[in-house]
Amino acid sequence: MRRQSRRYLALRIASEVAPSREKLSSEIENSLRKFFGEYGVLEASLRLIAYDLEKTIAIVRCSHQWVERLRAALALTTRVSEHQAALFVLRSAGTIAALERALSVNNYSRDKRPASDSMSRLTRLSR
Amino acid sequence: MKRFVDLHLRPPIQDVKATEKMASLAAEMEFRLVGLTFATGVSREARLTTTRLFEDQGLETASRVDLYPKDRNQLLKSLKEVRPLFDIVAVECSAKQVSSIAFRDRRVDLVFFSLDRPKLKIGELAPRRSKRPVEFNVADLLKDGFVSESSLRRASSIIWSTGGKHLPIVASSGATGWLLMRGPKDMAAVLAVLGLDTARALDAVSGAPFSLAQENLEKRGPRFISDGIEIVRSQV
Repeated sequence: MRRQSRRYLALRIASEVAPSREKLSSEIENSLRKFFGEYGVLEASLRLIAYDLEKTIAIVRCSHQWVERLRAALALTTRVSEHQAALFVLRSAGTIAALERALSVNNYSRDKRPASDSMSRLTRLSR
Repeated sequence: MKRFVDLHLRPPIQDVKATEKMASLAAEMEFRLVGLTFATGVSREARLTTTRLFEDQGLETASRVDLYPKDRNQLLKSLKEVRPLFDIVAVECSAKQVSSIAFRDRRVDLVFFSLDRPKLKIGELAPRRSKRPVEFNVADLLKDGFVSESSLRRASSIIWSTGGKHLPIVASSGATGWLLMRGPKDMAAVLAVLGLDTARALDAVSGAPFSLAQENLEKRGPRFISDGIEIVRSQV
């Protein structure tokens, strides 16, 4: 059986208090469940790949057929761990490497290292 | 590359920090043009200060006013007053007599329907064919801090009615703060989930609002005389 193709989404978490990795993961899953049900969560094969608490950027993986619906569910999310929050999709790509490249072009990391280095470090550490 | 537009930002003009945050977030989300909504009583200086905060982030801006008329006369009176002062004029259609003017009058740029009036039937308010775009605000769905089933149903009926009557759709955030802002493709995804086809949903956050804003900004420019007539050279 052929493995289903996946998409990787980089999210910016805008909130007054940065949520923990566990809270963020469960909140994303809950949003999807709220709008598309248990079957949606199953079909989307959602997984939080990486999360940088300082930069409040996360990388989420999902089935390529569910990108649109996941984007909608994230857009309709208003709270993360009891605080008002918003989740924005910054970029989406077919591989983590492509996503990191896209993020580095936009210079999302604010430290002095090359952006791609710091995002790679982020994904390595969080796995 | 698509030129993304959010025609409905309502920055809190007395709170400069919050406005700055909205501006930087709009730039980060790769909007090219934003519509800044002001109340009619706001001073010119306050409008300029807010506009400058957004322009400093590299965004183009258009000033906008929202009208909430209760009847036909109130709408016509308000239009006469505000049309020369703002780039974009949007009207909430709360009654049949308001919507029949709003969809026809050339001074109106956008019409929108409230999600809080479930008894109003969009199918009856909107004409069969019109070039006036209908605006859908994502923040209306998020207003109470959660998305209710009734507001989703109402939003879906707006999308279906406007789509079915071939009216142009514009999607905006309608954000009053940075936490209510949403990315352009995220707003398009919401429209797509509510029943609009993907191409039209993407056009609702790019082509449709951009051409509307561009056209209005040109009209308010110094070279514009009338439709199809503009000053090419002022000295012969």
